[in-house]
Amino acid sequence: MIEFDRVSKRYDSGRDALRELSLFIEPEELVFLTGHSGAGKSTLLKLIMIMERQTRGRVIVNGKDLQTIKGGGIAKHRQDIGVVFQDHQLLYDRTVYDNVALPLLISGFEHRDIGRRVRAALDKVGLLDKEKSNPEALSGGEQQRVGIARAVASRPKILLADEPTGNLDPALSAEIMALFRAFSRAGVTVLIATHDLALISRMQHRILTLKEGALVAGGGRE
Amino acid sequence: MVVSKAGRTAARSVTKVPFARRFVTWRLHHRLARHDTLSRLGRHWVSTLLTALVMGVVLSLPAALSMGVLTLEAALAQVDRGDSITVVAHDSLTLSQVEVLSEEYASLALVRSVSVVSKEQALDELSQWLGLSPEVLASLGNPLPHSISLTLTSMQTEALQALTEQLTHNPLVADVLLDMEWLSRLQAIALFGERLMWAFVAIALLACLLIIGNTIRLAVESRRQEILVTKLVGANNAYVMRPFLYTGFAYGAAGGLVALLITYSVKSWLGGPIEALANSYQTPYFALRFPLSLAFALLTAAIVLGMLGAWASARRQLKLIEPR
Repeated sequence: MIEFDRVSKRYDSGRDALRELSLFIEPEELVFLTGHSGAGKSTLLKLIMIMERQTRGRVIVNGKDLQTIKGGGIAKHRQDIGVVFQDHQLLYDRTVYDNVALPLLISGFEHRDIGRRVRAALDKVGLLDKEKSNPEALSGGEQQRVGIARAVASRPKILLADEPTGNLDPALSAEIMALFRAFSRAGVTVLIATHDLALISRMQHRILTLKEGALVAGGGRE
Repeated sequence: MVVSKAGRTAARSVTKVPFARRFVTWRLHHRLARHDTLSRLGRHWVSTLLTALVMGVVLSLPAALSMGVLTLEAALAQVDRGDSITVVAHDSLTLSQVEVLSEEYASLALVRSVSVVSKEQALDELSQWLGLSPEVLASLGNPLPHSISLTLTSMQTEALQALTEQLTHNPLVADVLLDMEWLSRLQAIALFGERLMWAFVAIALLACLLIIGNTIRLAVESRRQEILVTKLVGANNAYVMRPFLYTGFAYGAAGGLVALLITYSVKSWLGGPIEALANSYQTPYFALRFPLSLAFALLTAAIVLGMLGAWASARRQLKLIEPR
């Protein structure tokens, strides 16, 4: 589902964020990505989202070589991937419902369909009663769940999360992780970048460990 | 918090979309952008109104000027273009001699018709014009000569000059009156007015582009976060650009309407004095002109300017806002 083939990324500043990195993530797999700050976790996610381009090597997502995707294709590619951010990236000038509906509107879902999917997504994260609230009125954990609902509302095949529990206490973090596991069981490929080793070591999933842009554990096909 | 079995089967890609579906989406996106634009402009109605007023004022300058120029040009086109020449006969000539001369002139190629104005007729006209009784004027003695008025078939400058020269050479002719100077002065003024109008049109276009450009630049900047998020969840540039184009359209249309309002107010305010002036000259054709076609052109130009300014500004600004 996601394949990195000897991928290197050097930023304009000269910093090597990834070095000859190869990995393979199966469909419907849940994989954790860990490592110190600056080890290349964010860069790896950005390459999958085409927010950055690799300097060398190939990135293949959903069977497509990302190097061949250009212009308007990038937007289409992003529609097929759900993303959850550490700082939620919600829009505070609209309701929870409208936040979750945003990717559906952009992807061109039908009006009826949108209502159904938004409510289904909010139901999954346990926030169905908050659809009319402003995200600002919600707690950090709830805001993160809105972010997750937005990421999964269009039912993408791939779900990426960048430090989704970064600002949450352990109980809330475990709750969020349980959500991701549920999505993985429902057929979504999930890749989560996180620092929280204590939490993920209990979860019995593959852990990719990055160090200075190279994979030191967990790579290769299972 | 359990994902249903249906979630598994429903997980699907949203890439390959048929044309009809894409068209529906496209229309939906337009409707969303319109709705978004209107509600935003409504929420910030004071700044919306101010921008529209500024645009309107700027656009009303060339509009008002063009009204003046059009009025002047229409008046010039209809005014007696002086297509007649008055030949003043020598004092020594009798009326019958003048009549013979006039018959000679009637056969000239450029001349359509001739009419002899005797010195008595001339005095009559003068006394009427002065408002004195002809007897009083006649008692002072009649200094006026006989004259011949020639109506011409053409007003071509060269032909006219040749004719004037030919007429002047005749020893029986005291003077040839061809009052062209006022006409050429008026034409020069009209030309000046027209160029002034175009200069103002150019200035107003530039000013409007800058006003809209700056307004949209600020609008894009204030929505930076939203743009980043929408791009991250799969919005393309067209989707992000659309609300700003609609904003430019709205500003242009509102600015154009304000300009029309100002122009028509000026027209009705100046209408009275102009009518009085026209009446004093007994020239009914002299009225302020601002035809509907011009009003339509003004509105269209304002909308095009609004969208163009918005497009250029947003395109430049959006390039700087890419998720990183």
